[in-house]
Amino acid sequence: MKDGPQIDPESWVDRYGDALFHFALARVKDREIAEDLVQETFLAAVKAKDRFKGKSTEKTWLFGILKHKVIDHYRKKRSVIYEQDLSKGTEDLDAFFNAKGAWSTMPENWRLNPGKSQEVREFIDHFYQCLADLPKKTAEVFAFREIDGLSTKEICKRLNITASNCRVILYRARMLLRKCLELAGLGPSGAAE
Amino acid sequence: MMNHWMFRCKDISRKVSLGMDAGLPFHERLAVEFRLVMCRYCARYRKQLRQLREISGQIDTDLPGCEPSELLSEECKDRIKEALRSYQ
Repeated sequence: MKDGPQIDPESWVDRYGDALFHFALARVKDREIAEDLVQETFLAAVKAKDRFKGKSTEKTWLFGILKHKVIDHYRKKRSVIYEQDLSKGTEDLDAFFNAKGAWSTMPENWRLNPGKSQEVREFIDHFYQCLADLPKKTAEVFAFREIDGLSTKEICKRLNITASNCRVILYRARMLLRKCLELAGLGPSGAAE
Repeated sequence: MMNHWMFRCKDISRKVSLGMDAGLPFHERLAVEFRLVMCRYCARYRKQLRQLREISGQIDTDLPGCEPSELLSEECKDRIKEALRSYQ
């Protein structure tokens, strides 16, 4: 590689293997599956190493790849996988609001106290499961934006969609994720706003 | 044309999401902030979207306190290194 940072895949295993495994195990609760996901992550990273431009740290980049693997793993376990027309509008999101445009179901105050690691872990578990429940392309756009930190311009280019389309998909993803997390019973916290 | 000071919760939900990706014109940003002060549920909504972003970027940092069983075994590390060598 000419311009990117120097990469040594075998040293990744010693430097980041434990952290990646710990994250994967916490999500999938199965040692063998977690090991497989970590191995797949490193192999995917080697294949995509030319894409690593050093904008994020190596660790963040590898975690990004692993998170996609975790979402794929959850999705494979689903009996129904929703595909979605990416050009779809937001009409179906109208149900979140009443005829006057006010919230029909009030957003809750989520239990997500950074001081309580168990709460955070539980939230993260639900988060990845909800992400896997989204229509595949919608989840992909959300993950590109929020997990990989790509700009909407980069996402448009990668998926060949328009900027306005991308923003609608992100809006939809956020609204549906909120709904899923609230259905999972993660609020209210009773914490002060 | 919509009066920006009259944004409804539905409009705010779109604007807040849009603001996280593309930014909003100054007058809209001001109107959104005004509405967020007036509506606690819209303020909660924005907090939720920020929490989603935070969680998306989160990676575990509590490794020092975890059990050896929660770490990758040496045997598995060797196996992965071997797989990486075979691939390259």
